[in-house]
Amino acid sequence: MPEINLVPEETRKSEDLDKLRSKVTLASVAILVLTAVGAIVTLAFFAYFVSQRGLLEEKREKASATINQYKSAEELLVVTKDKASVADRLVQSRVDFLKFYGTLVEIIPQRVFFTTISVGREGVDFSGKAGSSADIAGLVSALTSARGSEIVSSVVVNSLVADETREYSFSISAQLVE
Amino acid sequence: MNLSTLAMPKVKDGQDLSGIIGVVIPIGGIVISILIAALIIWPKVNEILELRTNNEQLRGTVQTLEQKAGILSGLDQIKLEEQLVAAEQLLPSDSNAFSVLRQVEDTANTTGVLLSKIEVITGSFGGGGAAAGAGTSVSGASPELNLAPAVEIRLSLTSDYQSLLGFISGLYSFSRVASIDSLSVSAGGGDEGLLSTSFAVNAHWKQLPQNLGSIEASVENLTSAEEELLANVKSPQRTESAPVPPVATGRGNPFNPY
Repeated sequence: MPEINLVPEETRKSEDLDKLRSKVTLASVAILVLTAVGAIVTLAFFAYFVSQRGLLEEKREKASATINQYKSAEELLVVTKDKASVADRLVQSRVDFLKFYGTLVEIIPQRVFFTTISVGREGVDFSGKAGSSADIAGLVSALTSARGSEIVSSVVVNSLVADETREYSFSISAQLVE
Repeated sequence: MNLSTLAMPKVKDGQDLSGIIGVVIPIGGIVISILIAALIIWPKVNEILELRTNNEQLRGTVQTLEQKAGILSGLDQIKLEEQLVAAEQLLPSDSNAFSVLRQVEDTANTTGVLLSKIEVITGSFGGGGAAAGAGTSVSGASPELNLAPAVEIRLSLTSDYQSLLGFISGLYSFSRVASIDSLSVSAGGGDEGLLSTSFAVNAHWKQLPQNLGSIEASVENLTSAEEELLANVKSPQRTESAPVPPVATGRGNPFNPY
Protein backbone atom coordinates (compact mmCIF):
# COMPACT_ATOMS: atom_id res chain seq x y z
CA MET A 1 0.00 0.00 0.00
CA PRO A 2 1.58 3.42 -0.99
CA GLU A 3 2.65 5.85 1.77
CA ILE A 4 0.05 8.43 2.59
CA ASN A 5 1.43 11.99 2.67
CA LEU A 6 -1.12 14.44 3.83
CA VAL A 7 1.15 17.55 3.44
CA PRO A 8 0.43 19.33 0.23
CA GLU A 9 3.27 19.20 -2.36
CA GLU A 10 3.59 22.98 -2.62
CA THR A 11 3.93 23.31 1.15
CA ARG A 12 6.66 20.63 1.10
CA LYS A 13 8.53 22.46 -1.67
CA SER A 14 8.23 25.70 0.26
CA GLU A 15 9.66 24.07 3.38
CA ASP A 16 12.56 22.57 1.39
CA LEU A 17 13.27 25.96 -0.11
CA ASP A 18 13.23 27.55 3.34
CA LYS A 19 15.68 24.92 4.62
CA LEU A 20 17.96 25.46 1.65
CA ARG A 21 17.76 29.21 2.05
CA SER A 22 18.61 29.06 5.73
CA LYS A 23 21.59 26.71 5.01
CA VAL A 24 22.90 28.94 2.25
CA THR A 25 22.42 32.00 4.44
CA LEU A 26 24.32 30.36 7.26
CA ALA A 27 27.13 29.31 4.95
CA SER A 28 27.22 32.76 3.43
CA VAL A 29 27.45 34.44 6.83
CA ALA A 30 30.18 32.02 7.93
CA ILE A 31 32.19 32.60 4.75
CA LEU A 32 31.73 36.35 5.01
CA VAL A 33 32.92 36.32 8.62
CA LEU A 34 35.92 34.14 7.68
CA THR A 35 36.74 36.42 4.78
CA ALA A 36 36.49 39.48 6.99
CA VAL A 37 38.69 37.92 9.67
CA GLY A 38 41.13 36.73 7.00
CA ALA A 39 41.27 40.17 5.45
CA ILE A 40 41.86 41.86 8.80
CA VAL A 41 44.57 39.40 9.82
CA THR A 42 46.23 39.64 6.41
CA LEU A 43 46.21 43.42 6.48
CA ALA A 44 47.52 43.42 10.05
CA PHE A 45 50.41 41.15 9.07
CA PHE A 46 51.08 43.24 6.00
CA ALA A 47 51.18 46.41 8.09
CA TYR A 48 53.49 44.71 10.61
CA PHE A 49 55.95 43.53 7.96
CA VAL A 50 55.90 46.91 6.24
CA SER A 51 56.69 48.65 9.52
CA GLN A 52 59.45 46.09 10.19
CA ARG A 53 60.89 46.84 6.80
CA GLY A 54 60.83 50.54 7.55
CA LEU A 55 62.68 50.00 10.81
CA LEU A 56 65.27 47.79 9.15
CA GLU A 57 65.79 50.31 6.36
CA GLU A 58 66.33 52.98 8.99
CA LYS A 59 68.91 50.82 10.78
CA ARG A 60 70.64 50.09 7.50
CA GLU A 61 70.87 53.77 6.66
CA LYS A 62 72.31 54.51 10.09
CA ALA A 63 74.90 51.71 9.90
CA SER A 64 75.83 52.71 6.33
CA ALA A 65 76.36 56.29 7.46
CA THR A 66 78.64 55.07 10.28
CA ILE A 67 80.62 52.91 7.86
CA ASN A 68 81.02 55.79 5.42
CA GLN A 69 82.26 57.94 8.29
CA TYR A 70 85.10 55.43 8.90
CA LYS A 71 85.93 54.82 5.24
CA SER A 72 89.63 55.62 5.61
CA ALA A 73 89.94 53.30 8.62
CA GLU A 74 88.22 50.58 6.61
CA GLU A 75 90.72 51.01 3.78
CA LEU A 76 93.62 50.74 6.20
CA LEU A 77 92.13 47.69 7.90
CA VAL A 78 91.33 45.89 4.64
CA VAL A 79 94.84 46.37 3.25
CA THR A 80 96.56 45.54 6.54
CA LYS A 81 94.39 42.49 7.13
CA ASP A 82 94.91 41.27 3.57
CA LYS A 83 98.67 41.40 3.91
CA ALA A 84 98.93 40.35 7.55
CA SER A 85 96.74 37.28 7.15
CA VAL A 86 98.70 36.05 4.13
CA ALA A 87 102.01 36.83 5.86
CA ASP A 88 100.89 34.95 8.95
CA ARG A 89 99.89 31.92 6.92
CA LEU A 90 103.20 32.05 5.04
CA VAL A 91 105.17 32.19 8.27
CA GLN A 92 103.13 29.34 9.75
CA SER A 93 103.51 27.14 6.69
CA ARG A 94 107.21 27.53 5.98
CA VAL A 95 109.55 24.69 6.81
CA ASP A 96 111.43 25.22 10.07
CA PHE A 97 114.90 24.03 9.08
CA LEU A 98 116.44 25.23 12.33
CA LYS A 99 114.13 23.00 14.34
CA PHE A 100 114.85 20.13 11.96
CA TYR A 101 118.61 20.37 12.35
CA GLY A 102 118.36 21.21 16.03
CA THR A 103 116.44 18.00 16.69
CA LEU A 104 118.55 15.93 14.32
CA VAL A 105 121.87 16.76 15.98
CA GLU A 106 120.40 15.86 19.35
CA ILE A 107 119.23 12.37 18.42
CA ILE A 108 121.82 10.95 16.00
CA PRO A 109 124.41 8.51 17.33
CA GLN A 110 127.92 9.87 17.70
CA ARG A 111 129.49 7.48 15.18
CA VAL A 112 127.22 8.59 12.35
CA PHE A 113 127.80 11.42 9.93
CA PHE A 114 125.97 12.60 6.88
CA THR A 115 127.39 13.34 3.47
CA THR A 116 124.15 14.76 2.10
CA ILE A 117 120.87 15.84 3.62
CA SER A 118 118.12 17.06 1.34
CA VAL A 119 115.09 18.45 3.13
CA GLY A 120 111.92 19.44 1.33
CA ARG A 121 108.18 18.99 1.41
CA GLU A 122 108.47 16.14 -1.07
CA GLY A 123 110.66 14.23 1.38
CA VAL A 124 113.90 14.02 3.27
CA ASP A 125 116.93 12.11 1.98
CA PHE A 126 119.85 11.26 4.22
CA SER A 127 123.11 9.84 2.89
CA GLY A 128 126.06 9.22 5.13
CA LYS A 129 128.29 6.80 6.93
CA ALA A 130 128.06 4.96 10.22
CA GLY A 131 130.81 3.31 12.25
CA SER A 132 128.96 0.02 12.67
CA SER A 133 125.66 -1.70 12.07
CA ALA A 134 124.73 -0.84 15.66
CA ASP A 135 125.16 2.83 14.84
CA ILE A 136 122.86 2.46 11.83
CA ALA A 137 120.33 0.71 14.04
CA GLY A 138 120.72 3.55 16.53
CA LEU A 139 120.13 6.11 13.78
CA VAL A 140 116.97 4.41 12.50
CA SER A 141 115.77 3.98 16.05
CA ALA A 142 116.41 7.66 16.75
CA LEU A 143 114.56 8.77 13.62
CA THR A 144 111.56 6.62 14.49
CA SER A 145 111.57 7.57 18.18
CA ALA A 146 109.12 10.05 19.65
CA ARG A 147 111.69 12.82 19.35
CA GLY A 148 112.59 11.83 15.78
CA SER A 149 108.92 11.63 14.84
CA GLU A 150 108.70 15.34 15.50
CA ILE A 151 110.76 15.97 12.38
CA VAL A 152 110.39 12.90 10.12
CA SER A 153 108.00 10.03 9.49
CA SER A 154 107.84 6.99 7.20
CA VAL A 155 111.55 6.26 7.57
CA VAL A 156 112.85 3.88 4.90
CA VAL A 157 116.40 2.55 4.57
CA ASN A 158 117.07 2.56 0.84
CA SER A 159 120.56 1.17 0.86
CA LEU A 160 123.09 -0.04 3.38
CA VAL A 161 126.56 -1.05 2.22
CA ALA A 162 129.57 -1.95 4.35
CA ASP A 163 133.20 -1.95 3.20
CA GLU A 164 136.02 -4.06 4.54
CA THR A 165 136.43 -1.76 7.55
CA ARG A 166 132.78 -2.41 8.45
CA GLU A 167 132.00 1.21 7.93
CA TYR A 168 128.49 1.41 6.57
CA SER A 169 127.33 3.75 3.85
CA PHE A 170 123.62 4.34 4.06
CA SER A 171 120.83 6.06 2.24
CA ILE A 172 117.65 6.75 4.15
CA SER A 173 114.54 8.53 3.02
CA ALA A 174 111.66 9.83 5.08
CA GLN A 175 108.78 12.25 5.02
CA LEU A 176 109.15 15.67 6.58
CA VAL A 177 106.87 16.39 9.51
CA GLU A 178 105.76 20.03 9.46
CA MET B 1 -10.15 8.62 -1.42
CA ASN B 2 -7.20 9.41 -3.68
CA LEU B 3 -5.49 12.37 -2.00
CA SER B 4 -2.91 12.81 -4.69
CA THR B 5 -5.55 13.77 -7.12
CA LEU B 6 -6.93 16.45 -4.83
CA ALA B 7 -6.85 19.94 -6.26
CA MET B 8 -4.55 22.26 -4.24
CA PRO B 9 -4.34 26.08 -4.39
CA LYS B 10 -1.41 27.37 -6.63
CA VAL B 11 1.62 29.12 -5.08
CA LYS B 12 1.67 32.73 -5.97
CA ASP B 13 4.42 34.14 -8.25
CA GLY B 14 5.50 36.72 -5.60
CA GLN B 15 6.22 33.99 -3.10
CA ASP B 16 8.40 32.18 -5.69
CA LEU B 17 10.38 35.35 -6.39
CA SER B 18 11.03 36.12 -2.73
CA GLY B 19 12.16 32.53 -2.26
CA ILE B 20 14.61 32.79 -5.13
CA ILE B 21 15.93 36.14 -3.93
CA GLY B 22 16.31 34.68 -0.46
CA VAL B 23 18.73 32.09 -1.91
CA VAL B 24 20.46 34.32 -4.42
CA ILE B 25 21.56 36.93 -1.86
CA PRO B 26 23.52 34.50 0.34
CA ILE B 27 25.00 32.89 -2.77
CA GLY B 28 26.01 36.38 -3.93
CA GLY B 29 27.61 36.94 -0.54
CA ILE B 30 29.59 33.73 -0.93
CA VAL B 31 30.70 34.73 -4.42
CA ILE B 32 31.77 38.17 -3.18
CA SER B 33 33.69 36.55 -0.31
CA ILE B 34 35.48 34.27 -2.75
CA LEU B 35 36.26 37.24 -4.98
CA ILE B 36 37.68 39.19 -2.02
CA ALA B 37 39.76 36.20 -0.99
CA ALA B 38 41.04 35.62 -4.51
CA LEU B 39 41.61 39.21 -5.58
CA ILE B 40 42.66 40.90 -2.33
CA ILE B 41 43.63 38.47 0.41
CA TRP B 42 45.60 35.95 -1.65
CA PRO B 43 47.80 38.55 -3.42
CA LYS B 44 48.39 40.24 -0.05
CA VAL B 45 49.41 36.91 1.47
CA ASN B 46 51.93 36.49 -1.33
CA GLU B 47 53.16 40.03 -0.72
CA ILE B 48 53.50 39.25 2.99
CA LEU B 49 55.53 36.12 2.25
CA GLU B 50 57.77 38.10 -0.09
CA LEU B 51 58.08 40.89 2.48
CA ARG B 52 58.99 38.40 5.15
CA THR B 53 61.76 36.91 2.98
CA ASN B 54 63.03 40.37 2.09
CA ASN B 55 62.95 41.42 5.72
CA GLU B 56 64.99 38.37 6.70
CA GLN B 57 67.59 39.26 4.10
CA LEU B 58 67.53 42.88 5.18
CA ARG B 59 67.90 41.84 8.81
CA GLY B 60 71.02 39.84 7.86
CA THR B 61 72.39 42.82 5.95
CA VAL B 62 71.69 45.16 8.85
CA GLN B 63 73.43 42.78 11.24
CA THR B 64 76.48 42.65 8.97
CA LEU B 65 76.52 46.42 8.62
CA GLU B 66 76.10 47.02 12.34
CA GLN B 67 78.86 44.53 13.08
CA LYS B 68 81.09 46.24 10.53
CA ALA B 69 80.24 49.68 11.90
CA GLY B 70 81.06 48.39 15.39
CA ILE B 71 84.45 47.09 14.28
CA LEU B 72 85.29 50.26 12.35
CA SER B 73 84.26 52.61 15.14
CA GLY B 74 86.54 50.75 17.55
CA LEU B 75 89.66 51.10 15.40
CA ASP B 76 92.67 53.21 16.30
CA GLN B 77 93.64 55.06 13.13
CA ILE B 78 97.22 55.80 14.23
CA LYS B 79 97.85 52.19 15.26
CA LEU B 80 96.39 51.02 11.97
CA GLU B 81 98.73 53.26 10.00
CA GLU B 82 101.70 51.79 11.88
CA GLN B 83 100.41 48.29 11.24
CA LEU B 84 100.01 49.06 7.56
CA VAL B 85 103.63 50.16 7.37
CA ALA B 86 104.64 46.90 9.08
CA ALA B 87 102.41 44.89 6.75
CA GLU B 88 104.04 46.59 3.77
CA GLN B 89 107.41 45.47 5.10
CA LEU B 90 106.18 41.91 5.54
CA LEU B 91 104.69 41.73 2.08
CA PRO B 92 105.69 44.63 -0.17
CA SER B 93 103.35 45.62 -2.95
CA ASP B 94 105.93 44.95 -5.67
CA SER B 95 108.53 42.27 -6.17
CA ASN B 96 111.43 44.58 -5.21
CA ALA B 97 114.03 41.95 -6.09
CA PHE B 98 117.07 44.17 -5.56
CA SER B 99 116.21 44.87 -1.96
CA VAL B 100 116.05 41.13 -1.26
CA LEU B 101 119.32 40.58 -3.07
CA ARG B 102 120.91 43.22 -0.91
CA GLN B 103 119.51 41.58 2.21
CA VAL B 104 120.79 38.16 1.14
CA GLU B 105 124.26 39.56 0.46
CA ASP B 106 124.32 41.41 3.79
CA THR B 107 123.16 38.32 5.68
CA ALA B 108 125.82 36.22 3.95
CA ASN B 109 128.48 38.75 4.95
CA THR B 110 127.39 38.90 8.56
CA THR B 111 127.05 35.12 8.99
CA GLY B 112 130.25 34.23 7.14
CA VAL B 113 128.87 32.06 4.35
CA LEU B 114 130.44 32.20 0.94
CA LEU B 115 127.85 32.68 -1.80
CA SER B 116 129.12 30.85 -4.85
CA LYS B 117 126.03 31.47 -6.99
CA ILE B 118 123.02 33.74 -6.87
CA GLU B 119 120.35 33.31 -9.50
CA VAL B 120 117.25 35.44 -9.47
CA ILE B 121 114.18 33.96 -11.12
CA THR B 122 111.58 36.57 -11.68
CA GLY B 123 109.30 37.68 -14.45
CA SER B 124 110.18 41.33 -14.31
CA PHE B 125 112.38 43.39 -12.07
CA GLY B 126 111.14 46.19 -9.92
CA GLY B 127 107.61 46.07 -11.26
CA GLY B 128 104.53 45.17 -9.36
CA GLY B 129 102.75 43.84 -12.40
CA ALA B 130 100.62 40.76 -12.30
CA ALA B 131 102.84 39.08 -14.87
CA ALA B 132 105.76 38.95 -12.49
CA GLY B 133 103.69 37.37 -9.77
CA ALA B 134 101.86 35.00 -12.02
CA GLY B 135 105.08 33.76 -13.56
CA THR B 136 106.54 32.75 -10.25
CA SER B 137 103.44 31.37 -8.62
CA VAL B 138 102.57 29.09 -11.50
CA SER B 139 106.05 27.65 -11.83
CA GLY B 140 106.19 26.66 -8.17
CA ALA B 141 103.64 24.36 -6.63
CA SER B 142 104.45 25.09 -3.01
CA PRO B 143 101.56 26.28 -0.84
CA GLU B 144 103.45 29.49 -0.05
CA LEU B 145 103.48 30.50 -3.70
CA ASN B 146 99.78 29.90 -3.96
CA LEU B 147 99.25 32.39 -1.15
CA ALA B 148 101.46 35.14 -2.53
CA PRO B 149 103.80 35.47 -5.50
CA ALA B 150 107.50 35.59 -4.80
CA VAL B 151 110.84 36.53 -6.17
CA GLU B 152 112.81 33.30 -6.28
CA ILE B 153 116.50 33.53 -5.53
CA ARG B 154 118.47 30.32 -6.03
CA LEU B 155 121.57 30.21 -3.92
CA SER B 156 124.60 27.99 -3.81
CA LEU B 157 126.90 28.57 -0.90
CA THR B 158 129.80 27.17 1.05
CA SER B 159 130.01 27.46 4.78
CA ASP B 160 130.51 25.60 8.00
CA TYR B 161 127.53 24.14 9.82
CA GLN B 162 127.00 26.95 12.33
CA SER B 163 127.29 29.64 9.66
CA LEU B 164 124.73 27.83 7.55
CA LEU B 165 122.27 27.76 10.45
CA GLY B 166 123.00 31.43 11.11
CA PHE B 167 122.38 32.25 7.45
CA ILE B 168 119.04 30.41 7.39
CA SER B 169 118.07 32.05 10.65
CA GLY B 170 119.00 35.40 9.11
CA LEU B 171 116.83 34.74 6.05
CA TYR B 172 113.88 33.85 8.26
CA SER B 173 114.48 37.02 10.25
CA PHE B 174 113.93 39.28 7.27
CA SER B 175 111.18 41.76 7.86
CA ARG B 176 109.93 40.60 4.48
CA VAL B 177 108.46 37.12 4.58
CA ALA B 178 110.84 34.65 2.99
CA SER B 179 110.41 30.92 2.70
CA ILE B 180 112.64 28.06 1.64
CA ASP B 181 111.06 25.11 -0.13
CA SER B 182 113.90 22.65 0.03
CA LEU B 183 117.43 22.64 1.32
CA SER B 184 120.18 20.36 0.11
CA VAL B 185 123.36 20.18 2.16
CA SER B 186 126.41 18.14 1.17
CA ALA B 187 129.57 17.67 3.14
CA GLY B 188 132.60 19.04 1.31
CA GLY B 189 134.68 15.99 2.08
CA GLY B 190 137.67 17.85 3.49
CA ASP B 191 138.70 18.14 7.11
CA GLU B 192 137.56 21.76 7.31
CA GLY B 193 133.99 20.66 7.75
CA LEU B 194 132.79 22.87 4.95
CA LEU B 195 129.35 22.24 3.56
CA SER B 196 128.00 22.92 0.10
CA THR B 197 124.41 24.03 0.24
CA SER B 198 121.91 24.87 -2.43
CA PHE B 199 118.38 26.11 -2.02
CA ALA B 200 115.90 28.65 -3.28
CA VAL B 201 114.64 31.54 -1.20
CA ASN B 202 111.18 32.81 -2.02
CA ALA B 203 110.77 36.44 -1.03
CA HIS B 204 107.06 37.04 -1.11
CA TRP B 205 105.12 40.12 -2.12
CA LYS B 206 101.50 40.95 -2.58
CA GLN B 207 99.72 43.61 -4.55
CA LEU B 208 97.41 46.00 -2.77
CA PRO B 209 93.73 45.12 -3.04
CA GLN B 210 92.20 46.88 -6.01
CA ASN B 211 88.93 47.78 -4.34
CA LEU B 212 87.20 47.64 -1.01
CA GLY B 213 84.19 45.73 -2.21
CA SER B 214 80.65 46.74 -1.44
CA ILE B 215 79.64 48.51 1.73
CA GLU B 216 78.12 45.25 2.90
CA ALA B 217 81.42 43.39 2.51
CA SER B 218 82.38 42.28 5.98
CA VAL B 219 85.65 43.34 7.58
CA GLU B 220 87.61 41.33 10.09
CA ASN B 221 89.78 42.58 12.85
CA LEU B 222 93.39 41.44 12.96
CA THR B 223 93.88 38.26 14.94
CA SER B 224 96.27 38.27 17.87
CA ALA B 225 98.78 36.24 15.84
CA GLU B 226 98.66 38.78 13.02
CA GLU B 227 99.03 41.68 15.44
CA GLU B 228 102.02 39.96 17.02
CA LEU B 229 103.58 39.37 13.62
CA LEU B 230 103.13 43.02 12.69
CA ALA B 231 104.51 44.16 16.02
CA ASN B 232 107.55 41.92 15.58
CA VAL B 233 108.51 43.56 12.30
CA LYS B 234 110.07 46.37 14.29
CA SER B 235 111.75 44.09 16.83
CA PRO B 236 115.57 44.10 16.96
CA GLN B 237 115.67 40.44 15.87
CA ARG B 238 114.18 41.38 12.53
CA THR B 239 116.29 42.56 9.63
CA GLU B 240 114.55 45.37 7.86
CA SER B 241 114.75 45.47 4.10
CA ALA B 242 117.96 47.15 3.08
CA PRO B 243 117.84 50.11 0.75
CA VAL B 244 119.80 49.58 -2.43
CA PRO B 245 122.76 51.99 -2.23
CA PRO B 246 123.28 54.50 -5.03
CA VAL B 247 126.19 53.87 -7.38
CA ALA B 248 128.40 56.25 -9.33
CA THR B 249 127.11 56.80 -12.85
CA GLY B 250 128.65 57.91 -16.18
CA ARG B 251 131.38 56.26 -18.30
CA GLY B 252 133.40 57.41 -21.30
CA ASN B 253 133.51 54.05 -23.03
CA PRO B 254 130.75 51.59 -22.25
CA PHE B 255 132.86 48.64 -23.52
CA ASN B 256 135.87 49.24 -21.25
CA PRO B 257 136.03 46.77 -18.38
CA TYR B 258 135.37 48.48 -15.04
